[in-house]
Amino acid sequence: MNSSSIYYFDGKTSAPKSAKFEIKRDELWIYIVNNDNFTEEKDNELYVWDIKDCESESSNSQQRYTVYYGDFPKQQIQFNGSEYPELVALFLRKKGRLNSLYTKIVHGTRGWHILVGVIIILCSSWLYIRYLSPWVGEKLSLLVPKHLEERLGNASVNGILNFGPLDSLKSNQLKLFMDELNLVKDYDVKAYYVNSEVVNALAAPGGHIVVFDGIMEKIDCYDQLVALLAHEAAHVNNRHSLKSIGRSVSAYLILSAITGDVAGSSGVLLEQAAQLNQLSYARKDETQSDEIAILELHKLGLDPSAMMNLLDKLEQQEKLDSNLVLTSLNEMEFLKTHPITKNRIENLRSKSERLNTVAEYHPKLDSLYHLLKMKSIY
Amino acid sequence: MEEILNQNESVEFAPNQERKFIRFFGKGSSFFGILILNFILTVVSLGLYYPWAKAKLRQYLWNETELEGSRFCFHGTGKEMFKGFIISYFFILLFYIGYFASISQTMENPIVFFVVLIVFFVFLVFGFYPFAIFFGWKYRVSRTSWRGIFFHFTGDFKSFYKMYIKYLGITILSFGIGSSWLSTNTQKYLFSHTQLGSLKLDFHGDGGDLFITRLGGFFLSYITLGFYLPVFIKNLFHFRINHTTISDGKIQRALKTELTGKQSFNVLFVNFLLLIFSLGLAFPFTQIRSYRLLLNSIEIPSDIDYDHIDQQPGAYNKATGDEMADILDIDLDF
Ligand SMILES: [Zn+2]
Repeated sequence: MNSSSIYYFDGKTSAPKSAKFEIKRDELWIYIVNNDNFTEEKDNELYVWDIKDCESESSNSQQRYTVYYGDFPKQQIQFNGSEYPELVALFLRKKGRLNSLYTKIVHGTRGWHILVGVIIILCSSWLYIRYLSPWVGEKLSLLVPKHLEERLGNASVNGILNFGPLDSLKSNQLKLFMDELNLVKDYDVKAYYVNSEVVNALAAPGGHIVVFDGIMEKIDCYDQLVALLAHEAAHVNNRHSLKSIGRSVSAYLILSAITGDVAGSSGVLLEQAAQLNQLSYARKDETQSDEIAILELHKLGLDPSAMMNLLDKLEQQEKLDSNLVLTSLNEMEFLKTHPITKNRIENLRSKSERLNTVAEYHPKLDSLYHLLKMKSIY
Repeated sequence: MEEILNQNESVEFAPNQERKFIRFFGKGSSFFGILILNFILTVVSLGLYYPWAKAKLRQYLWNETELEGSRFCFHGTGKEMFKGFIISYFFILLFYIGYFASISQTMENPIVFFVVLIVFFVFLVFGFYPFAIFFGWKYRVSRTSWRGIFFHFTGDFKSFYKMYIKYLGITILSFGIGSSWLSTNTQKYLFSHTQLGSLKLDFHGDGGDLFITRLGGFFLSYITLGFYLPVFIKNLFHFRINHTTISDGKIQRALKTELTGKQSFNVLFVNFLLLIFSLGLAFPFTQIRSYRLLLNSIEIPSDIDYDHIDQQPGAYNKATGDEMADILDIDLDF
């Protein structure tokens, strides 16, 4: 076939027929040109197409421009688009805005288009990862029914108990201590005291609060224990761990749907970015819990600076540990999950000073605290 | 290059002995542009635009592929593919729910987790895959035309499933060795029930050949630290193409690929570097490079009459009448 001719296909066979066309108002008139015995007098085969029922498709070089007409069998003409610009313009106008945008992209993409595209991709990925996906994830996590949340909590506590043996006596004492404070709303508190050197405390979904022996050693006054528990209780009340699961699932779920078969390799990259983002959201949760803990201390008539004392102590320990290379790796777990910055402590200090708390002595808490501090008998 | 190619083609059909190749004219930059627009619209619509994006992508790729001076056309629409998209999304969601429901049981009772995993695996392999392979192929084929002639798939799911289960059983019992036969017979089933109008496709590959190709390929790729991989890919492509035949009712001829190990190595190696240094953003360009290499290497038999292929009555209608065909259209390689 010659590229500068028009060909007509009738939809019944693949035989190409040379053709000519004319645009008459809203119609496309296609004449079949018989090469062998073409005579002016003889009536040529003629097809009249309603332009509004035509669909068109073109290649990037516009060498092959195809116009389809009818349902089935579809008739079509094929021509070189660059030789019939008026016809191309006609069909481009007919397409909707979006479709003609696609056609323009196919016809000619330049270097700067690609640059703009890359920038748009990077910006929208960032917006998506930073704001949209965490938002969707948190909303999704709120749909999780309570009994499932408690199941999840049980599973993670069972995982945590691998760190060391559960001290059931101290767990009961811890529960009594917490009941005195009444920090957790909506959930039954389940307290776990683990005999392990790990310096950490954590809140699992569904009201499970775990305290390790390691962090208890660092605490030297009952109000610091209240600060720690108030912080963890804030995690429980605000469903932080469930939200964090929701955020990572939504990042993964939606990203895999969007990138799908489009980009395998960049999908991995985006996932990495989502992971990093996860950390910054975790930090946000920490700050929120600290602030709530201070308010709780204030409400209980305890000195809010107990929170800062606890953080200071942990921070000093961290500095000490970084000088001593000998410390075991999991020694400072609390700091990994609860990173302490100067900023964080300063903010808390100024907030707590504004509260003007009048601190009182709580004999019952103090005696329960002393029970917890006693060396356990194995 | 296009001009030179076009001059060699004549309007009238004449049984000449010129060699004919499939031509792919896709450009990395256009492809990139389409992907970006698709990406933006998909993100803005929270993923719902995905089926429409897929339709646009296919329309482009089909339209840049040429056989005997005419381009292919993809007639599928986002609206049709949306149903399949929703269904597969539902399955993914189901998997996640099952996964998280069972993970909460893991510590207390590890058996539950394994049972859920096995049920899901069985469902995937025995139900979802054959369904997706069959109807995905049927959908794609019935929405593809060339010179107004539609491709046409005549297989029925029952006989396909029988074949699939038989070879899946062999694969499982032989600890995976049978997968070469499963793959070969799947292609054989799909191709032998596919025609372009009156032109019939078929596949004559043998599972044993594929097994030997794969065995050697895995082994040599492993001991050469992956440097044999391009040759392995070339061999697999040769197996797929060289055993594919087309017949116009009078004669049956095989396709042929001229792909060499060296070409395969060059394209793969450069693609690899491009992807690494662009952090994956060169993906559209590497993809087009691969398509170009593979498609342009395919030689089509020159003594088949491409100008007298007849439309099969009802080829298109039959496909649209069948709701199942629209349901699943997932990109799976058999
Ligand atoms: Zn915390």
